[in-house]
Amino acid sequence: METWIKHALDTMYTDFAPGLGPDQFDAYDLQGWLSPEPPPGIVTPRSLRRQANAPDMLETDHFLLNLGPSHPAMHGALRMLVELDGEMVMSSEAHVGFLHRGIEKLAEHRRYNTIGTLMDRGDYATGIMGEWALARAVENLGEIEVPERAEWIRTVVAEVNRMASHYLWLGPLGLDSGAMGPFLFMMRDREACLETLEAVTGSRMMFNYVRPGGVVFDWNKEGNDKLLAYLEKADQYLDEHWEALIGSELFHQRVIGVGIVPHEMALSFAATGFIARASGIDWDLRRDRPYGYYDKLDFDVLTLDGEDIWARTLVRFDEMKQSIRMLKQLVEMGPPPGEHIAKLPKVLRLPEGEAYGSVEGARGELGVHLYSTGGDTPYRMRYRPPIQFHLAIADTVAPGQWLADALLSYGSFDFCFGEVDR
Amino acid sequence: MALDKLTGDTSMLFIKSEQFFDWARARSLWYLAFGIACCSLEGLIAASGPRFDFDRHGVFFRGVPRQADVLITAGTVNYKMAEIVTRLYEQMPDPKWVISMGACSNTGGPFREYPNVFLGVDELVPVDIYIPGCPPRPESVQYAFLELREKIYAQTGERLEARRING
Repeated sequence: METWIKHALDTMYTDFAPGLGPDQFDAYDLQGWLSPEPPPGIVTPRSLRRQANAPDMLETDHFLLNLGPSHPAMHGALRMLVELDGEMVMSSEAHVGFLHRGIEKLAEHRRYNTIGTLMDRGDYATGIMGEWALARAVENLGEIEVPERAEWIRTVVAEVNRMASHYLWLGPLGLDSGAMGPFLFMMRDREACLETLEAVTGSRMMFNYVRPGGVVFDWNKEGNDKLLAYLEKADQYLDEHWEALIGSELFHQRVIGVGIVPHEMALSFAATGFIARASGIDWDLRRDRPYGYYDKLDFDVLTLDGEDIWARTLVRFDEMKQSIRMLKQLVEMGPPPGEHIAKLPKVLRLPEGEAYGSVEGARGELGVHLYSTGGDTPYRMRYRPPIQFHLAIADTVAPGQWLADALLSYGSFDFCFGEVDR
Repeated sequence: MALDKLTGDTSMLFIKSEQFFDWARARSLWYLAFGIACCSLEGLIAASGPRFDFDRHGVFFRGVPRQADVLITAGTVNYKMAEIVTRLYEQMPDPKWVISMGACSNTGGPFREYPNVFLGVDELVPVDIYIPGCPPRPESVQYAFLELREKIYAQTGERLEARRING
């Protein structure tokens, strides 16, 4: 049963060619390169014909390459269509929607304390962040007071989850740049983070732990012990990663000066999180609009002007160090006494109106905008994923790079397609 | 193998040779590294990591469908992705198996109310093993591979049964 008649790498595979407006077509001017006769109706964009102005003076054609959604170098269900001149990327176009499953629409039919399950599956690498953003939106709208103890627990699990997500980014970045070993070590450390989360929340990935008004389970001794055991080793682990991957000269040669996101582009594309901070925008929600327990913690935010993958790596590596610093402070403070969840009715009804709640997720500002008409479900929920904005940047910065560098720069944005397609 | 072209697929020679090849196949099940959604973190990435280490069962990831034996459908399959899943399955060489991982892939899971989502990947490709869970733990995926191995071993018995009836 062979249904696939064309080859994906074929120049004639123009089903998804970029910019196929009717004025860009030139139907029968193809005899020079197509043999023996062009079948009627097959057209190629004008931009695919290369001019003989390259140094080699060859009149070769541009090449359309479909990267993904099943491609070893693509992270997640993304189809990136690139146009190549030799090995140079001329244009790049992202095709999304391979994971669209209606999270925003389904949320309109769920009660407020069950939307967290959908938020988990949206931002699946850092479930706590999505749940927390939703909880903050609901608490802003309903003016719900959150107990101190709940804020402490939320901050701890969020930072542990941020560590787990950063490991999941740095390891595959090493894979993309040709380093297999560091990936295995980072998976080891990620398991330590997930063990802590499992002991506290009961699940490795889909927590459904942070609910409006607090958290589901109280802080327990097993989670505390696992967190302490991890924190004992964490600094040593980070030094190992520095020696194995980030401090390596081979890695420097791959990432320095590659995937440059200029400061103006980061501003105009609404970049947040580590992309913004690596392009000179000094902005971190944890410091600038404090929530949770962050106003009681002492931490630094690293902002660099490097604008390349190397700057992003340094910013994220520093975030990991700061997370460990924060976790150590939090453990030293200990959980404040009191309840871990506010007293709320079983069916939560919010007043009419709208509210926005956001957290500094692992990849940028993760926000939820709720519009309520007074029922037990939202009238509309808008999920603001940071990666959707960064995907537009990744599209824009790829042209002009070698294909291998473009793949590395796609990887450096840390795509998570549950968020983009929703 | 081409032996069945010579001797017929109910010959004892063919059945015994297939038994040998099944023994080899069951010990090197290479899965396609095709992550669709959340399950790929557990079933593909954590699985190849040091804690669970699927490599010791001969289970290893491949980036290309032409080199893969097992397709793990790790995530929600919607109408846009359905074409890709079918195409990847067709590109894999025989013999091939499919493991449906997670609630979304089995039945649509938490998203089955949304009209864009397939109510189970078995509408598209023949599924051998279903793993429940959302997401299943890596241990569950390991168990699925062990079950798949048993299923491959059982093929000899099925061939002998077919020989007894038809041969």
